[in-house]
Amino acid sequence: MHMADALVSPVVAGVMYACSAVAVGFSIRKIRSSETNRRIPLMGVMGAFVFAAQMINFAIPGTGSSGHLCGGMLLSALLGPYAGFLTMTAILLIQCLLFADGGLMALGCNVWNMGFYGCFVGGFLIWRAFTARKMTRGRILVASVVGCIVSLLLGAFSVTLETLASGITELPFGVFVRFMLPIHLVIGLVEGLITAAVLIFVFESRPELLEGGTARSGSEERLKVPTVVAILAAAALVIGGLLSHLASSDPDGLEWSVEKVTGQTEVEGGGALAEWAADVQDRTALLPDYAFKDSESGTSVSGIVGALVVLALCVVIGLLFRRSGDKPDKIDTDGAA
Amino acid sequence: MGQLDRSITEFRLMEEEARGEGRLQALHPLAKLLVTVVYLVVLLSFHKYNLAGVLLMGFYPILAFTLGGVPLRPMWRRMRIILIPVLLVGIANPFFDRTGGLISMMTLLLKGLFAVAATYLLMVSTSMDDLCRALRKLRVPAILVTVMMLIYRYLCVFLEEIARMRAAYSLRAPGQKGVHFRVWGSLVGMLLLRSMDRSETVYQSMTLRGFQGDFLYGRERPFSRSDYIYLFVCILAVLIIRFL
Repeated sequence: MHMADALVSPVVAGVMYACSAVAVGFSIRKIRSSETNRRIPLMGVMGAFVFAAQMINFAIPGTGSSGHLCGGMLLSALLGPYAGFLTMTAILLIQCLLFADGGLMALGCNVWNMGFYGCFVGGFLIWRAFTARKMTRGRILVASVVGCIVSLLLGAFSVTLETLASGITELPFGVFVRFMLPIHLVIGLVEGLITAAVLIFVFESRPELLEGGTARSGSEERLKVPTVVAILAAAALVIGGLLSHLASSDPDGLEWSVEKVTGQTEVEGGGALAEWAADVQDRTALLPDYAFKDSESGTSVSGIVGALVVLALCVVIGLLFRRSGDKPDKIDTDGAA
Repeated sequence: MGQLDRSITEFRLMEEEARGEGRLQALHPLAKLLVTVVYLVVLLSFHKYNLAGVLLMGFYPILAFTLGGVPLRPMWRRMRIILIPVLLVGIANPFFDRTGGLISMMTLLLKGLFAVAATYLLMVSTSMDDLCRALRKLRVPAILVTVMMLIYRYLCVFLEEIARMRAAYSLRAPGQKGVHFRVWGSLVGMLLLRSMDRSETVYQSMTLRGFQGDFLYGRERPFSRSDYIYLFVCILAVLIIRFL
């Protein structure tokens, strides 16, 4: 479910970065009160474990395919939702910086879609609601499956909203949702079962390791199932409302405002082509629109050809300077200037 | 297991590459991180029909790849995985938008391509220790960076352990596509319990070395002239393409 950079606009990326940053800040404050230093190595080692364990393929009986472990749920059940969320954030940061899995710009979205829902909805609301009073094999199974399904569906729904709000696809909302949700319902079910199997094993061998596995003190936060449902419904409404508003009102609000400031104009949907002459130096209006669409498409074609020529030049310059000896000081500056 | 072994090899190769002596590697990590972020923001801000503008943005990866002598092959493998969802989202455009759908799809794919290339350039030229130091300079919370460094440090250990477990499992259960559901819990659960015990040992050894909640590796060095030139020229070039 990692979103690539290309799927988000800067506005959506910024909004989701802000949401995730608030959740990270809140989690840090929450765990600071407990013995942080002792938890850091545990978070690091468990993060590496989940990261690596997600590469194991679990055979799904009766089908030819395989599933993976749900990291957010597992981490929350073992470390608690706050430390679990921070660990998920660190995992996503590494996946993005080390494996280019999920983009740097889309990181805010990914932390929200996978970390927040997995740890706070799956791990905090649902896990605690089912296991706070009593922990049994059945309760762990139900909590894991429900938690995984709900958090994956919320994540998939958010991916849909974020992509649509970014205005990069023409897919209608209904089609997109119908495509995303059923797949993630099945994935959620499988991930829930795998996560439950692991958690039940831990519960049977060392119950004290699980969140709430031993007798809980009265001061711990507990939530009842109806409260959880109400919170989930409210959250879905708020997020859905906010993002769909973004989607409908103006997908490229930042771009428009920037263009107003810089004096560039761009006609939306009207089919007017911004001038972009083949002459690369005379690029005062580098915003060709709706190319290949009418008789004027020639200007845009030439624009694209111009851009390709510039790129080819970049390749030549790059290769030339690469051969011309080692001058570390001159990296990029020669070609780009 | 093929995928795991590949991941371990790739992991090691990336680390070796990032610690190399090339031109890109010599630049300050913070300069590279800032250039990457500005490049990505500008790249994503292009309008969905502005194919020419997005094409021009290819200047940065092309110059950096050619000048820096960065190997391309590992990126292509990665690219395939990342671009498939982008393609799935974009492929609808020509059908729902008969006039400019093809252009917007191509723009989307190019954005995906260049964004991955820019991120790949960052990761192939900067070690995780240096990146973490840069993140700390940008005021990313210490706990997050420390956990990142620990995950990175132990990832290889776990990948190898899982690869060994997987090999042992497949030797005893040949011809199976994945782990049988009867042992889902015990196989991973055993590793999990061992990992939790390991974390306690790690904590104890960290405490003995004076761990106070924050530590950084990576080289600390000031910005040099070439770092400033790189930062200035790249950002200027990106802004010129976007706004002129």
